[in-house]
Amino acid sequence: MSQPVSSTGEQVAVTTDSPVDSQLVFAHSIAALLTVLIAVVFGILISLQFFLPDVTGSWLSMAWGRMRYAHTQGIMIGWLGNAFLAYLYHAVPVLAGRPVTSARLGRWLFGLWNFIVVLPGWILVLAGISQPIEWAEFPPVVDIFVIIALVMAAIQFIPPFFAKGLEELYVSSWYIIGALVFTLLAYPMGNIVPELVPGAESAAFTGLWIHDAVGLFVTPLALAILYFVIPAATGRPVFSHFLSMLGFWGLFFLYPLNGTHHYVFSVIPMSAQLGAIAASALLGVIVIIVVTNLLLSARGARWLLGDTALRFAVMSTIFYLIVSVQGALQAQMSLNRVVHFSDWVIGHSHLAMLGFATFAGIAGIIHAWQRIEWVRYNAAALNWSFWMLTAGVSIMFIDLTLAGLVESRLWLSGAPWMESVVQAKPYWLGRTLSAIPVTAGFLLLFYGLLTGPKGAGIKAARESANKGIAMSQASDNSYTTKAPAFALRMTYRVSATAAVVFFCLSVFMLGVLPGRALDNQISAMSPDHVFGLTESELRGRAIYAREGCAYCHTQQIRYTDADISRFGAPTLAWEGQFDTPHMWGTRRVGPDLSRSSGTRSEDWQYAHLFAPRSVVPWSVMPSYAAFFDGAANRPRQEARDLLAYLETLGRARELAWPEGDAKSLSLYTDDKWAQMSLSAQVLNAHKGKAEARTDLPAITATENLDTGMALWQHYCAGCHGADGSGNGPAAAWLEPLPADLSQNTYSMEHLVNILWQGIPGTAMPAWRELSGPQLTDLAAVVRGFKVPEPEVAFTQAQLTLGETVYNANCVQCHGMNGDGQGFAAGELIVAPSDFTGQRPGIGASISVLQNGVAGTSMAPWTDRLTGNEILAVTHYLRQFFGESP
Amino acid sequence: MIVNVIVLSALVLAGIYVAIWATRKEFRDRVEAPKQEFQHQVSSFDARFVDGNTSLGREGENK
Repeated sequence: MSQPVSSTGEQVAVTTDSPVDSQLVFAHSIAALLTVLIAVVFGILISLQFFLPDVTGSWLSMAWGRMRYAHTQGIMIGWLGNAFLAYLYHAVPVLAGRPVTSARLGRWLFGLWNFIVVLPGWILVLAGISQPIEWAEFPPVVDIFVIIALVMAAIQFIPPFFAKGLEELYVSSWYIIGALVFTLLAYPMGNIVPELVPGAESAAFTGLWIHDAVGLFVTPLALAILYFVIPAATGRPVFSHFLSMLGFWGLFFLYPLNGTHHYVFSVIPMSAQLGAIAASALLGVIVIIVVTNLLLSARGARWLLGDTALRFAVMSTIFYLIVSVQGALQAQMSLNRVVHFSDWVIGHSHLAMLGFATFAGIAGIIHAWQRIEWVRYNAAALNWSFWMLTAGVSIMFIDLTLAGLVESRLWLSGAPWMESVVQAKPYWLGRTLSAIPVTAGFLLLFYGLLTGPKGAGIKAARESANKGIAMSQASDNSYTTKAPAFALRMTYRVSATAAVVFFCLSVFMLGVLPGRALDNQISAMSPDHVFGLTESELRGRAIYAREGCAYCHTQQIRYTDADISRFGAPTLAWEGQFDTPHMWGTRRVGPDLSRSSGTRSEDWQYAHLFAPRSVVPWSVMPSYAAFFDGAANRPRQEARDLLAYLETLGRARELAWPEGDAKSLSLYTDDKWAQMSLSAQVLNAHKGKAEARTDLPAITATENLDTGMALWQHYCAGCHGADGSGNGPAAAWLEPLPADLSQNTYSMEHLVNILWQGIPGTAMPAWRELSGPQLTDLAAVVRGFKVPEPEVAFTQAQLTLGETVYNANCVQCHGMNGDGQGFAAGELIVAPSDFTGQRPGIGASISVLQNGVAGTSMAPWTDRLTGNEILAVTHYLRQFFGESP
Repeated sequence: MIVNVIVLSALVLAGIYVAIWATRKEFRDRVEAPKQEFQHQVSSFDARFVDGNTSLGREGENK
């Protein structure tokens, strides 16, 4: 090994008898800090987009979904992976009493991990090559190198323990061995299997991996650090090694069995869900044992005043307790029904990865760094780093938890979806602001490890000892080796075997068995001939996956009353039989898209993709203008493919319904969950689904124009413009154009009816989420847009001419009474105007008759009618209006 | 069935382990032994610094 060189260029000698390869500790620590800073930048950029959605422009590489992928993979593999490796290069030689397997292997592993996995992984994800599986977003080609790296890590760190008897292994050693072995088992299962099986089955394996990534990789290595740093920094042995081992086996038995709790109330068999829920509750008990043992080990150590590594370790332990108890509770059906899909879960995952795991990782790095003679150490900066990170993580967790409660309350209340977005925005701002102390904390950590005097780390640790924390010099060698080693060794062998069996059991119980049950359900319920996806739809699906749409829009309607009333019949297994991998998602920023087929017109969808806020003013959806040639009405192939895919969502079930559901209902009489879906009153409860319904809300006697104007800005101004003249930001992209409401007089009933039913064949959706009073307020605002025009006198002769012209040319569509019910009306995609509820202005009518209405069946009439006839019929049709103008 | 057998077996084994731990002091001592050994390992490693026994000389000096 070459001698390290100090920052001043001076050759620094290293003790040759140290079993620790401090160069690799140094290299992985620096790599960890660099990657966490980059991952935090990704995190800040995606959090900014929640209230500044256009902040990164239309550059696809900086699009929300891609950066979301880069953020989480950067944290787990880049930051935590490197931090754990840095710790392992210090801890394994100390624990095993001998060096790691090979210094050369260590250099290869460092290069592979950072330059073949993390860096290319980020580049590929940002370039749009990824897989839409949570905590597994790096593409399969990178997964192969991760698996190779994990094999190398196992070879590097496990053999040094071979010389020790199992009964002699300290609990940190067990956690290290366990993490390396079980991550190697879980990673291929979680990253590759979901790509091979479809729909709900794919989701079952993803659920396993989401929890295995945390439970078998992150948690064991974090706990290995805590069990190492706390007793080392306090100079006192861990409170109870028995409890430590009890916790170790309990965690390795139970963590893999938790996976399906990510999909509670889904179509995955309830037996698997209940098993995972029970395992989650038991895990909470085990975690309390682990945390109690760790905190008792730090008792009396004045840890907040002492060694910085100890401080990070104890705070990590506290975060672990909170996040684990929270996890056990939110897996229970009563709480899961409320908070799932909301920011509550995002707060939970940040507390796990940024709180518990990150603080443990920092504790490990600092502890090892203090014991490298040739590096600098700035205790004051590290002290500030601790406080900044503690403040940042705490604020972020509390903020997101509150946001989740606000969102879930609104979702349960049936309030319009956008209400939850609007009310969450202040909390999203708070989350971004919490990134300031977090970023400052990481920068101070970096600064603290690169500045200050050399060797000051060990000095700082000693000063802490002087404050009441014993330097790890007390060595009570009172333990005996005469005790029954054989019995204990056998116990550990049996337990180790059992842990592997439990892992296999988890895959069998929560992956294979549910998969079989789902296959059976698909065979029984699926229509005989289900449309697969066309080439265009498949390309659209790939775009949906690539851009991370599933990370804001779920594709699973849960078996809960709130989901059924908002979205429709819960998702059945056969609906996802072509979804490989699944795109169920675990978070809803926008609404569920399981039934998005036919809910919006094509031009509305394009306008929404091109400029989301032009049609939904408070939307936080990123713009995908890159899929268009400069305007929403000029979609490129990518936009067409994406829309084609969106139109497949829910299509198969809709085609099979209601006969298909009725047939299945007779087969699954004893399955209450299947019954719940099959007997749902409405297959697609999407508010924008423009199917005529007779339950028109009653118009209220009083109107509130202030409320109406707020609703107007929220729902209508994007297309119709602020003044109702039909010139909103999205207007130019829609065909037919939004109505110019300032030209016509409308009856209240007519407006409320249009608002409630929408206008099929146009971008005008049915605003079913508005109540009767809200519709009344909104209609009153629309009526106020009318620009007064002088009443033009017309003669009886003109009226007679108008009647003649109308009966000869207009009655077929608009009907004898002008009510839009002519005999041809039913054949038209866009219904003819109903003049009994709408009195057109003279100028507007003449314009329509002269130019037609693009996008409808209304053609120009100038080739068949004279100017006088046009004027006459314009006057005549105004007579149909039911109210006095 | 096989799942029940595995889970019950695990519970029985865990029960035997706890029972032995509760009734046999030498077993308890043996289970606890690694924590003392760990302290010894850590203190031995740190002793290199405590004694100033590094090629850098006394710790804290910015050489």
